[in-house]
Amino acid sequence: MAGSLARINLYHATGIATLLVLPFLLDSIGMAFYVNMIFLALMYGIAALAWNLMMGYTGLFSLGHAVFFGVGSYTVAILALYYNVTPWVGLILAGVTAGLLGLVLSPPLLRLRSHWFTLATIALGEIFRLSFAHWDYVGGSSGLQMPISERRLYYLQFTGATIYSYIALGVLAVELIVLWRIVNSRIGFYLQTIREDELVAQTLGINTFKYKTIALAISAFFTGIAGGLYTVRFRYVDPFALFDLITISTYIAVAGIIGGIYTFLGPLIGSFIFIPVSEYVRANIVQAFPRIYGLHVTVLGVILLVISLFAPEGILGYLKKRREKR
Amino acid sequence: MKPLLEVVNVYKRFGGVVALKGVSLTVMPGERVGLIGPNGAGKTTLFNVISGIYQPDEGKVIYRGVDITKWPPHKRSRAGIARTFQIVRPLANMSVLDNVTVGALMKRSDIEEARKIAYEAIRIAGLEGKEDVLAKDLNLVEKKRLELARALATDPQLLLLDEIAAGLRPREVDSLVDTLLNVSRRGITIIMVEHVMRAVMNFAERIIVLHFGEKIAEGDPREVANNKLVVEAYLGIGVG
Repeated sequence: MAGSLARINLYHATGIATLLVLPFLLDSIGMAFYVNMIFLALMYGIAALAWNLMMGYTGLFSLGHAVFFGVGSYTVAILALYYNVTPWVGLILAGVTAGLLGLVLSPPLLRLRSHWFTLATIALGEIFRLSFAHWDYVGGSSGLQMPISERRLYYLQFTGATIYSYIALGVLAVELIVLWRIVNSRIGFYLQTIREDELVAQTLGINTFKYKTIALAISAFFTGIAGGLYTVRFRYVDPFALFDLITISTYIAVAGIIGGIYTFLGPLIGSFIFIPVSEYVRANIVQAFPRIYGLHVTVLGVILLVISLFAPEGILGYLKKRREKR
Repeated sequence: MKPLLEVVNVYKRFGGVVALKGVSLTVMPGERVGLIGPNGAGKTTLFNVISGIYQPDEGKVIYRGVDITKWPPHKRSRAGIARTFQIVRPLANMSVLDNVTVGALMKRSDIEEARKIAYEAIRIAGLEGKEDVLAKDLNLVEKKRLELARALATDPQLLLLDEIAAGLRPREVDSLVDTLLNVSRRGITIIMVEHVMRAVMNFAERIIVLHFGEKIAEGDPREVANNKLVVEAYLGIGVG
């Protein structure tokens, strides 16, 4: 036991050190493309970890996390553009707005079970996409551009992705601590009980609606901050990129599933595998076969198929199982 | 002494089927009650009404003098009503210890404290040594005992056991009854729905018989076993 703990800690230490050094290192040797990849993996990883509080821990399969992600993005943009609020504050408020939205959406959403819940989340994403596309205050279908200003630190305007990666790392660190404490508390036990058997949960005194709402709100909170990071990094928000079923909702879920939903860190690992692969495939396949539209998505699909065949419990789940067998 | 539980004139219908037709019963604190009846008599439905999974169409459920008919299940378990399920419902991907710890967390939020209660409940239920096994890897007897341990960990006053002896061998039944008598001695009131006569006869001090949703007999085990209506309900008229 002590040995395996020490080994886990060594893995963790290596991971943390790599994440801390890598953006700076890649940047200094001029590999900006890869720094951006790290930023994206962190951004999706933050969202996927949050998503998994619902999926892996509570058994709620959402394909609508683009809603919380997008609302977080817009929150940062609107606050900066209309109210001159610095994105430093905007990022936190992105989480608060998304979390509140999660609370508001809980009563109708959580009435639905299993696949009906999932279908409703997909529908919700479409509703938000179309509503934002027709809402003038948020820029309609052309979206919003972040203000360009001399106050670079105030508006978080930096060249390249390096500094953004470190900001994302900071967010990730806070998220990991918060989620770790939650899943190891009474709430974590209750969420897993709900996942396994909602009726049993009720007979054990658990107010299942209340705890599912808590999971949804916390999940939405961190997903909203991930969305805020998007705005900070790319300085432009539009409804089609942000409320997208594939590149936001599904990518978040895929990162979680590839990494392993029944593990704590799985979704983060999954994001660091899936996002670089998808970026690499997109950059190279599209360049090589510019006339076959959507080929890179097909290639991604094949990769997913292979993973689902050989490691159905996800990468981290697979490694965990192999270690237990030994 | 005031009754712990009163079921008053309860009706429950499913479409055209009337599962409970005006059932009333009273259970005193510390009692060991057996609830028997042929398949489809309404025993499990009655348990579901008492534990709050179903709302009765008519009638009342009164617990410790309070009308709890409208209470949701989680509120009833917090008030001290625990149950096991006829078809065992282990939290499959969680260890035995975690399964039982969830029950213990109902009345305390500290994990370590809850673990201590869980170990004790596991010991009483006779599952010692299985703490780290995943619930899905237990055999049927062990799963039944897990149901019991989880219910006990909630520190109940009233325990509803739904066919906990079904599918067990005679020797396993006897040892389970011993366990249950121990639980009863701790002052926990138990209502047992059971087909296995060996379990009911050795456990219950009073037996209630349901037949087609109606109470047809009530009394001590020997009385009930010799009751003409009960024999007819079980064996059909004309036999014996």
